[in-house]
Amino acid sequence: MAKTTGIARNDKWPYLFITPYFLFYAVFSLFPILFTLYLSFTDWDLFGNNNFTGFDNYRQLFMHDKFFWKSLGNVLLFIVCYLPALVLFGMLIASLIESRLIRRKTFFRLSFFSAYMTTPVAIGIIFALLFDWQGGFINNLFIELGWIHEKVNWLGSSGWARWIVILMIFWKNLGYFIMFYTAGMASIDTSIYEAAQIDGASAKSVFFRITIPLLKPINLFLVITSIIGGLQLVEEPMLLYSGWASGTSMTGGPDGSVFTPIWYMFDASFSGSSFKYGKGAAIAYSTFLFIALFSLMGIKWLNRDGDSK
Amino acid sequence: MSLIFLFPFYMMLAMGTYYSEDLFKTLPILPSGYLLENLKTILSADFLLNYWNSIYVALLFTAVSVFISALTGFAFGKYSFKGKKWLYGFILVTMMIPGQLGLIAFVMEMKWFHLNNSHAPLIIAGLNNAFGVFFMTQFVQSSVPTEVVESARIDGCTEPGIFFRIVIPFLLPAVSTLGLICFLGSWNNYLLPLVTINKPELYTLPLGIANLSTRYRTDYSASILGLTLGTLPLILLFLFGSKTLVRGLTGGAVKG
Amino acid sequence: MQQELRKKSNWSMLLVLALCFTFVLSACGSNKDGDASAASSPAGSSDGGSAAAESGKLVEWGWDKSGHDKLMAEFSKNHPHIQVEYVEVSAKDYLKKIQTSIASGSDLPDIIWAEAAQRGAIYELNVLDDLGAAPYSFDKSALLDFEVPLLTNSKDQLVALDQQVAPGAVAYKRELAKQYLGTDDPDQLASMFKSWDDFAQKGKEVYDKSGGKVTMFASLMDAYTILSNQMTKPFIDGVSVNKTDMLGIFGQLQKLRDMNNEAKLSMWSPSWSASYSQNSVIFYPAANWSPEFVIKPNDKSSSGAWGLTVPPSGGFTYGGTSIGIWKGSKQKDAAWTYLKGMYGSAEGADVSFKGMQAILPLKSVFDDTSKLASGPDAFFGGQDLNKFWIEKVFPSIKAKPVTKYDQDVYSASEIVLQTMAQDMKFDADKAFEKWSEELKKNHPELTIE
Repeated sequence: MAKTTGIARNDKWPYLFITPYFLFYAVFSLFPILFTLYLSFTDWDLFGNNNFTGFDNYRQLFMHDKFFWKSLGNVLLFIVCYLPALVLFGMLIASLIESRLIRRKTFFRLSFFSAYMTTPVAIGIIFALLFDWQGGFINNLFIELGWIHEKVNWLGSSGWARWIVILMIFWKNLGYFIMFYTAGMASIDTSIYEAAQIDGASAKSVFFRITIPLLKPINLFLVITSIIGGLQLVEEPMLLYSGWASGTSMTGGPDGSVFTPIWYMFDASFSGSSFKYGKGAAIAYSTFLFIALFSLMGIKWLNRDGDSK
Repeated sequence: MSLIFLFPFYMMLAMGTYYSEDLFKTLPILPSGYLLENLKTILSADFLLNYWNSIYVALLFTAVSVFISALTGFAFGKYSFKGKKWLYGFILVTMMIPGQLGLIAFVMEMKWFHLNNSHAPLIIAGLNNAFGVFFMTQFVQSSVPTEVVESARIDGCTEPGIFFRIVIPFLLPAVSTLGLICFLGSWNNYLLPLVTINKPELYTLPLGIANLSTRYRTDYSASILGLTLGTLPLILLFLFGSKTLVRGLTGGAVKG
Repeated sequence: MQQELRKKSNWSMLLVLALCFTFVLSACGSNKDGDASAASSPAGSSDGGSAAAESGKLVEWGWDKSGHDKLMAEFSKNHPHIQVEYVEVSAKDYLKKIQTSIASGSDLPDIIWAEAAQRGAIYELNVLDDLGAAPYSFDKSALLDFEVPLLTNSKDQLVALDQQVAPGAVAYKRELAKQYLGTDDPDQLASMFKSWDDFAQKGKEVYDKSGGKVTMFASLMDAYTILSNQMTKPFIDGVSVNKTDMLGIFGQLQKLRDMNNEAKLSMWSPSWSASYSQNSVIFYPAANWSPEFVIKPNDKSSSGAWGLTVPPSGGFTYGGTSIGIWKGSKQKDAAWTYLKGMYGSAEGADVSFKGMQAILPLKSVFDDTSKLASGPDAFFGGQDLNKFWIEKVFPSIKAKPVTKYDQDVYSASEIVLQTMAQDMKFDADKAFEKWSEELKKNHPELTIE
């Protein structure tokens, strides 16, 4: 009785429902994808070259290109650092806000989400001002507090640059995660919580035994899209290092420490002297392979214990 | 803790009141007196027109995106049909392909359809929101009780009827969340309008703001003021959508 | 509850419909406009030579609408029937828009701009018409000699005209110069430094005397701007990298660093901009557009605090915008009238000077330089800026041929110099190595002898 029944009777409806999406996709989005794939097998660069070169681009990327591998390693590192934090803090704070302990819920929701809504231009300037080597706020503050004795070149050292990027991503996305968890929690039946309360469950076990499992579909969504999006990261590092808000550009950050695959793609195809669309397309699809790989791993891992809880 | 998070947003508001070069001297914590000047700067640059363009493009984009995502998500979430796994997998895969270079091909397509140089490309971009479908599917699976769907069917409701009358109310939290994200995405979209629109009257807000800067000097504070004013609709939508997040709104329906 | 929700969804449906309506209207409207203008221009150009040259509607993409409006006001007095539809595109995104249009086969504007660092690349994209050939037949000897390499592509065709001369020198803070160098007179300062080595040596003294608080330059990139623009040979000849000159520059920069000539700021960053109004840096590279766009905005309150002088090894070209005509333009005659009438003739020189106080790099303009003086500028302690450029900088000005790699060379140098500033062990050889590596990332075809 629990299975979705009525397959025979409702045969056509699901297909009808999904038709708009697939129709528009076929008309508008299929061509760009195939075109880009084709591009990756050429050396098109707007200066006159337009030859089919087979797997040359891929071979170059995978065998000889240390920039590509470095950028891949960077984004993986970032994801490993910020994703668990976002999931944990996201759920915690969302359930805190939603619980009866807090009134004025909208204020809190808005303040966390405001991070996501802040204009990138402003963010770039703010972080440049905070972490500037000579005149930055953080340096001055830390020296005042005696935590450091000499000004640290946050943006110029490869180690710190990574942490700053991770910090930016965490700050921006916490509100985003909280939003989604809140939406998910909004549809959890309150009667479950009431029942748990009557049974005398502690807040902690309510959180771990009820909230988390019920949020699993949302978590699946958030984690997978974060992996997919995280591997395609390009905004935060570019904000800090493409000379737009913070002055001199440093493609890839100090020593390429915050270089990302998609940034490399932009660098190869949209930069000031290089219009190598073929190479850019190859980077895009190579990255895609890794995205598919890690997303699959992510899905398998999240579904590993089924509904045993 | 939430105040720390709010802080940069507040700084953004304060930045709009500065004379651009003063921004670089210290952290802009207290508002400065340049607000009127900056306002004048942005208003003289077709700000209101760009603002309106951005608004209605974003609204259409969101409406289209959310609707199609919800419809498709419902199908994937509550039905089982032949090929479902493959089709769903296909959608997920399309999310994984970095699409920025596809821009060129997309512009080519728009040219063939004679739709370039209008707002159509911006809205058409909303028709293929794999992300939205994914989210809606997950949400439908977790929040739409099958029993309600079943009982509606037994009562003789048509499938579209089920969707519109029964399912959508359950989906309201998802609709408002997804709607907000889509709106934000369209609003901040810079690359697509840049390469598809060649008429200044059709420019959206980010483009208009970028043009405030000359080659040698970027008027950061005026830009930030313009962009901040741009977040107003977002805040409004957020507050509006927050009402749907009240828990228990849908809780009663199952028991009844 | 159900009714409420239904009402809400009704409202939103209505809203969406209304918006769709507006959108459809505007889309139809803009298409109609597009058709109308397309209909009128062929009529204009089929009319025959002179009529076509004197009337038409040109499309121009640029990033300075207010400047354009001023110039048009003057230009229209001479050619009332030429209209220009000016589409604003910010300088930072200009190249992106152009290349996407080329790649997708879309139309380019009749009049195309090319900003200094991207000039070479735009020329090589092969979208600008050769101005030396028919129907333009522009004689390049009308231009000042040093300008020609800036406007020529690798096929030796002149493909653009410069919006104005863009000479570069150094600006300095008079107070600091007086205090640490003994004088604030521009000529005396210029003669103090016979070479860059002299400069570096003096710089060390300044640093020591001020206890590390005052330096000659704000960053290595500032010095690089001057040094690289003083080169006379291109960065890259064909695909062969100019190792000698580059190594020389890096060596010079290393010396400047070792002798504490720079303050380790990041050029164009917030703290770099703030330094203009603080008393920590004496010299900044400056072009004729710098006072208005960089110096005055960053140091509003002071007046008489600044001066301009010539750096060691003389003047150079810094920045500037060149403008050309699209190969696929359907209105080349009108476009040429426009281009010539703004930037390529005595009449154009008049228009440019009256509209924007811009000086064109035409020999004819410099026959009588008395008209070009800009008057004493109080902000610069009474110096006549135009006179300064013409009399002190032009005699020694240098320019080098542009290449399509210029922008990437700049980015690679930025990366390398940031490391040089913080790592004292990073010397010229290592700098060159890293620089080559960065360049080769996207340009594997380059060779280094």
